[in-house]
Amino acid sequence: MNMGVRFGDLGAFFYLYRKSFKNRVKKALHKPVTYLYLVLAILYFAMIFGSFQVTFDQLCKGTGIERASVLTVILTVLALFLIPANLISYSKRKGLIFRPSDIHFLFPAPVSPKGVLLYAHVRTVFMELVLNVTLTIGGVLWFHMPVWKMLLFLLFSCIVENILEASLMVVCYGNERLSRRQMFVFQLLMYALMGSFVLIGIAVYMKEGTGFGAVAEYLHGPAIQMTPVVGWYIALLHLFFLGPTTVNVVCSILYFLAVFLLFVLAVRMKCTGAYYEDAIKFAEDYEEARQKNRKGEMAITGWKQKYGRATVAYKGSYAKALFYRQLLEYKKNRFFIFGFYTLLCFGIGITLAILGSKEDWGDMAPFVILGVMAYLTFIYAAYTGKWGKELTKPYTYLIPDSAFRKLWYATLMEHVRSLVDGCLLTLPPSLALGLPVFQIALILVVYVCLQACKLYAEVMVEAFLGNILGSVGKQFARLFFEGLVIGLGIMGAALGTILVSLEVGMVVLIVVAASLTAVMMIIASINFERMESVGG
Amino acid sequence: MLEIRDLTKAYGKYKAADGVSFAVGNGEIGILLGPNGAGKSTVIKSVAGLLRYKGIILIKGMDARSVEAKKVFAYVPELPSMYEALTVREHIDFIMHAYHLQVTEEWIQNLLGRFELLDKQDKLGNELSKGMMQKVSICCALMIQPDVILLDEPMVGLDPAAIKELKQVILELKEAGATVLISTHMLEMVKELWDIMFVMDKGRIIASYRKSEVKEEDLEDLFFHVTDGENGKGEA
Repeated sequence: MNMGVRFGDLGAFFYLYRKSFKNRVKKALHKPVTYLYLVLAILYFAMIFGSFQVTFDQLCKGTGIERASVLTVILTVLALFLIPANLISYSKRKGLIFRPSDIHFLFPAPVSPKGVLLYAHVRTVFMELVLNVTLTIGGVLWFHMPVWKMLLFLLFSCIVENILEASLMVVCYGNERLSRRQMFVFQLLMYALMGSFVLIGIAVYMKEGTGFGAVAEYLHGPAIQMTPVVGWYIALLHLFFLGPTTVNVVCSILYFLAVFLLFVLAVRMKCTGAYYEDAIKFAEDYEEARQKNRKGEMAITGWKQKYGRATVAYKGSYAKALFYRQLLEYKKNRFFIFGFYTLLCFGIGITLAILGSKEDWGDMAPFVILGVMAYLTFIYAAYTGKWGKELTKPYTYLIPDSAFRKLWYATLMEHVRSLVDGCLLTLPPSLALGLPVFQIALILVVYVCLQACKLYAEVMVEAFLGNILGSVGKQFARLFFEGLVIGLGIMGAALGTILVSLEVGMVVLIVVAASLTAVMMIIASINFERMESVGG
Repeated sequence: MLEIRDLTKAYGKYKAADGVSFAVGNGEIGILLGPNGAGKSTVIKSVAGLLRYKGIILIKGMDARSVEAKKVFAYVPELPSMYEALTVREHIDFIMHAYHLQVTEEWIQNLLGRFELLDKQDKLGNELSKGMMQKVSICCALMIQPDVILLDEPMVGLDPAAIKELKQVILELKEAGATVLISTHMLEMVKELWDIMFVMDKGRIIASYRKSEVKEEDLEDLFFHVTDGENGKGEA
């Protein structure tokens, strides 16, 4: 693919890819945890392949829809999910990820700015290739497509699709003729394109209702296929897998015309690198979000926390000051201690209340609430709250107080937050179902205990494995300890419930979870002894 | 020769650089000074081609954004950023590819030796200290054997030996006829180097001095003279 990129530039780009890839692999192979991840990944893929085989067999038999039709539906959904989102981010000159090192070395270098764009694009191609290879294998195994057909699809996805995407990217990023206002109009057009898919979906829903048949009707419809670029690609998929119709033949021709014209435009367009400024801004935002995510904080690229004015009266000294400082910071936040998770808890609480009112859960009602709570606690990735930041500040260690008190006051606000979240999660269904007050209080305490267990499991893992494991490894370790405590608690609760009553079962759960959490807390307090973690 | 004519860079209504014009000749060392927020970084990033701007920036008479100009231009940013998965030596090799350089192994080893990087060649980018990164960044810039070099706070993070070496290298570049522009707050470090000094404030050049004209006057005195008062007495 030559878009006005000099061959000399390609040598530099390939040198970067080759060396970076080789060094990363070499480094990964030295870590034992890589082999563990590899085994897990293979098992995961084997499981996915096996379960999908059964799912698609049942779907095709149950609905009587042809396998090729189901495959086309899946590819269409992927196209609708990926292409418009990419178009929108390119039109905003976002989406391509440059690292600070690219800004340092590549941007001032005498390489073509279009080449720099392609370099960033090619870095994303590996994941696309993995997806396309999976789809190719899946097409043969799950949907019984001929091998030659799926190989042709793979070839098409790797070449033609990439030419289109790279051309669009160069045109959006590299153009220096359109003003910001004109680019904004282009962005609006992209949003309109996405909106048109939603409108078509609503129209089909009004006509056909829900169910796989209606979804297939929507995705196979000519209106979708006639939508520029994305729809034309979908039309080509229909032509390839389902055979010709007037609409898909015409739209496929339009697709190839669009690819050709965009390619010519991308090659001929003048680009001196004016996009560097926007790319640098996005790279800085991305890097900031990446660093925060690495530390376990929740971060969205480009989103900046705004702080208001607030005051706090410190009612204590030494480690207690950590709590009041956190309170001051939360008071300056726009939504105080509330966040996305609060909203999620409230949404689930309301949903449980509605479902519980419609269906008679009887004596099982507390178990349903407890089950949802345990599931949510277990699967929702733990985000490091403000306590994590305390560990990065030297001031924390200089405060003349015990490590245990520092840990307690650094994490106290998290318990307050879990109490609030717990209320939002449990009160709506408990009140709607008319549970006794004592039972509601116990459910709430169980939730706070489970959250505390998750929190201290994380602090403990950070203390002992923080410098050894990556973020995924730490999540697994946290899940292991958390699962251990929850598992033992549930065993105790089951015994208590069977032998005496539900209330006694819950008290047993609370006692077991709280005791084990306290042990983890004592172990975890070592984190606040020294700035250097034990694993280091 | 580096020439900047009427450079203006605005962020909304705020003008970070407002009609900045100056030139540094061949074989000259220019110093860009100014308090925090004066607009130095904006000028530097514009010259390096990292920002959109209005005005003209010429490197050896060529548009700074052109590939030909970039071939003879080197830039040492304030904060070095290494490729995490590339070793020190691979950074050097990458620069050779990106600038299509023909440099002998002996020359490279000599350069790395001057900055005490010979035994660090196999270290990955993410294994380097900040000072070490700065040394690699300087070596990468020097690899180009530039005609115009721009150094943004180059002494920060360097040990005394490296600072001494860098000063020597800058003087050698001057001897070779290169144009050097240094942006710094560390006046002490550059007082024996400079030929021409530009003082910026609020996005404008408020004064400029030639060493040959001010003779024995101290760099620090000259700087505070213009930044403390409303207007500089220099040839703005």
